[in-house]
Amino acid sequence: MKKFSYKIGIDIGGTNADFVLVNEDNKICAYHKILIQSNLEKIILDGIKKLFTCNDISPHQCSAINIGTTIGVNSLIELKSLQRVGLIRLAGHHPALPPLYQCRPEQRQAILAGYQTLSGGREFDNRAITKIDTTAVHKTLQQLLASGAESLAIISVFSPLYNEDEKQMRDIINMLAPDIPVSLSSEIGGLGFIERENNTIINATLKHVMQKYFSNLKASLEKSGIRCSIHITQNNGTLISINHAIQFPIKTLSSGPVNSLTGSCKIAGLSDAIVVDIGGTSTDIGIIENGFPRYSMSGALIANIPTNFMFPDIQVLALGGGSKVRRTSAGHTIGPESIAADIFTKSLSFGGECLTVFDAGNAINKSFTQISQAEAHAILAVMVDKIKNTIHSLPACEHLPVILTGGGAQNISESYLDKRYIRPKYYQVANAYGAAQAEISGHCDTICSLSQNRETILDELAHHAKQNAIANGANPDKVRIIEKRLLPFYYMPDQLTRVIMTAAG
Amino acid sequence: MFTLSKNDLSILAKGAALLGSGGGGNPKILLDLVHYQMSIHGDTVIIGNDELPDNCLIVPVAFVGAPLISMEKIPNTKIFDTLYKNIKKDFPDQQIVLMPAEIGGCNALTPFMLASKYGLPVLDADLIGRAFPKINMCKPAILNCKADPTYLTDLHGNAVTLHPKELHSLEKMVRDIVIRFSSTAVIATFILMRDQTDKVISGSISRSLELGRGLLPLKTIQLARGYINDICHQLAGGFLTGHVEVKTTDKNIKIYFQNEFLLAKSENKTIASSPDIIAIIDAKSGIVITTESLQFGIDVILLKIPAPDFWLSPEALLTVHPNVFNLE
Repeated sequence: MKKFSYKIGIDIGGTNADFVLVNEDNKICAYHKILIQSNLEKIILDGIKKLFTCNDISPHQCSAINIGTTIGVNSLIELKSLQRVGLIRLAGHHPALPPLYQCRPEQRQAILAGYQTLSGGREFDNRAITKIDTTAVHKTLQQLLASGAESLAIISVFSPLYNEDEKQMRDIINMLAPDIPVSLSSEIGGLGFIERENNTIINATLKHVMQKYFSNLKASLEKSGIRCSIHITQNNGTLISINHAIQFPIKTLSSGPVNSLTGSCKIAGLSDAIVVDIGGTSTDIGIIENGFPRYSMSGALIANIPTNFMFPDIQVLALGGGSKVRRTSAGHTIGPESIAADIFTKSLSFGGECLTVFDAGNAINKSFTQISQAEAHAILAVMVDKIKNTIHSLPACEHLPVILTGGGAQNISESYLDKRYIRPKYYQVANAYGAAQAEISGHCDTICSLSQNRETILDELAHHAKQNAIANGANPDKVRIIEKRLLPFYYMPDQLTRVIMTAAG
Repeated sequence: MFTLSKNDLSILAKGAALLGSGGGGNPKILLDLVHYQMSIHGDTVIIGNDELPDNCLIVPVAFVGAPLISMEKIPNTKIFDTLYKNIKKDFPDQQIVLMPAEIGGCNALTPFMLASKYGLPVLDADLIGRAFPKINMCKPAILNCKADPTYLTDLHGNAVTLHPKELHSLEKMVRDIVIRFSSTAVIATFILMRDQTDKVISGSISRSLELGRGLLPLKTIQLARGYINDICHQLAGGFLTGHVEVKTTDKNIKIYFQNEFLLAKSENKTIASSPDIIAIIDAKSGIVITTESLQFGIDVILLKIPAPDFWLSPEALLTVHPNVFNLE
């Protein structure tokens, strides 16, 4: 038996953790789901061990464990396990807008302990707006700590172009208060002060929860004899180290949906497709082009906070396996209410009183006879129509095949679908498979003038991104550029452009 | 007379974005700032031409410079305090009534930064009725009004007062000063007296609010529904110029821009041209797409909204006809 021939993918959602074991031919050898009730670290350990024991393989045959998770998003939405953030703005002109202005008051209260605007920041041409006042830092720090700050966020004007002020501030804080975590805006987001500030605050408030779940994981796995590399999937579907994910939790926030999209495509063996992920309560519809998700037009709202992160463009329908079905004179209506969490007690199939999509699926499979075949078909026709209507409204993808995935996809029988629709084997664990198949990436995000030697400069940056990926552990034979975005700064001289390159392999 | 509250701002911004014809800067930049000012200082009163106080001075104000720089260097209130102080110094006895210089784009919101704080009324009018890239493309310029004095201020308390002899020297001076002011300045220009209301485009704020509520004016036409298939842009002479292509089921439509969308052609046939207002809207979200935020692959609706009647007169057309912009 070969060494290092297996990979493990794990998807940690709100209710379940899914585990898959993938062999060197990218085939799924085993999978299972665990309900998340107790200590997450223990669940991860148990889940991994179960994959090994069921398949009779030893831990040293496994080369990688990749984890995708929605922990960050969930704690933001529920306002749980957040650290309160102290914000320092280096903006000598004193912007007239307080931080997190668009947030709900209880959200601001839970996330932000306090903020101070200090002298500093740059103009677009690198002149100082005002000089940094190093003597003010000590006092500001004392004030923020006194008001309950547990994690600091620092933002300086035009820091994506000129990050020296933020770095200097971090150095001073590290000397004065070495234990307090510091997030710098220049390491997190692009231009757009308010959105980048929001990104930085979100990052700062989530550091603790990521640390809590993942900082000891590697040690615990090693104790159990599992010594392979462990990575977390990030927003663009590639992998980052656990330490990097703890430093930059914001980079993991959309890894769940991204893994679902990429995983579904890989299971189906496609690189361009529409993915329909049918869950218990909702159906997410997204597009994969060339192996990667199509992104939304504007920056994403994270728990309703505007950011400048690009998230996959996903249409959400209130439609799932647990959706309630109502009988009306004009036929059946489905949703938006769902009893997904109580499907085993409240649905007709389990002796409850609620007619759901799940019951219709069961009736068609003849495992449930309380409703007629004709009615079951009528219900599923309504559901399929809703999904098809959304698919038809998507721009520029009339030619793409459609992949049905997620736990709710079982309810849709083949008879409703023409040959454009595919329901691949193992569709229930597409997320975890997406994580297992994710590649290690390297990044290059810089601002430069492209008015001269444009191609040479872009080639050099691509090389830099590839080298970063290889340094992070990517396979040098497979490494290639997967994302290349040029964001020109209009009105600036010399075609000043932000260049973002991501290499993976 | 009516009251504009902070809750009306997003409606005003949406209408203003449509009137921007793709330019004028994204109102989103100012929306939160003005909202915050109004939550501190309260509502603003909007008045009509016949409600102007006797001894008043009508002051059109606008941000000039690069809107994207304001996204990073968020404006403060000092830039407005300085402007108000300087105008008051020169006109101590007159009651100041504000007005947006340009209703299209972010500047529909600019006067409210100042109006809310100092309790000044805002005239329901502007100088353009939409957005255009140059200072001479406004009603008082075409009617040969003087722009003397013109006030400029920056975020740090610097200020310049200009007394231009001719309009083309004003454009040049303003551009030079704005660069010195790190590309963000507030301007007050074409300041008018009470008896000069024939020099403004009346009803612009009401019109913007109506548009924002979804009440499109008569003769508004949906030109096409399709997706953005090609974007080509370059920076030339301080303007963002280029074209964008919208692909529909049966044709390709090319829209040419210089800061604003100015000309739309379907298979070489002109289907809309300046002074018509050409708006591109994200079909899914209803967000108005500006020339700075064009993105490949978005599903869009292309609208033609009629321009204010003033622009249809022969002397006005001479200044803003597509030929003037050397498009194509």
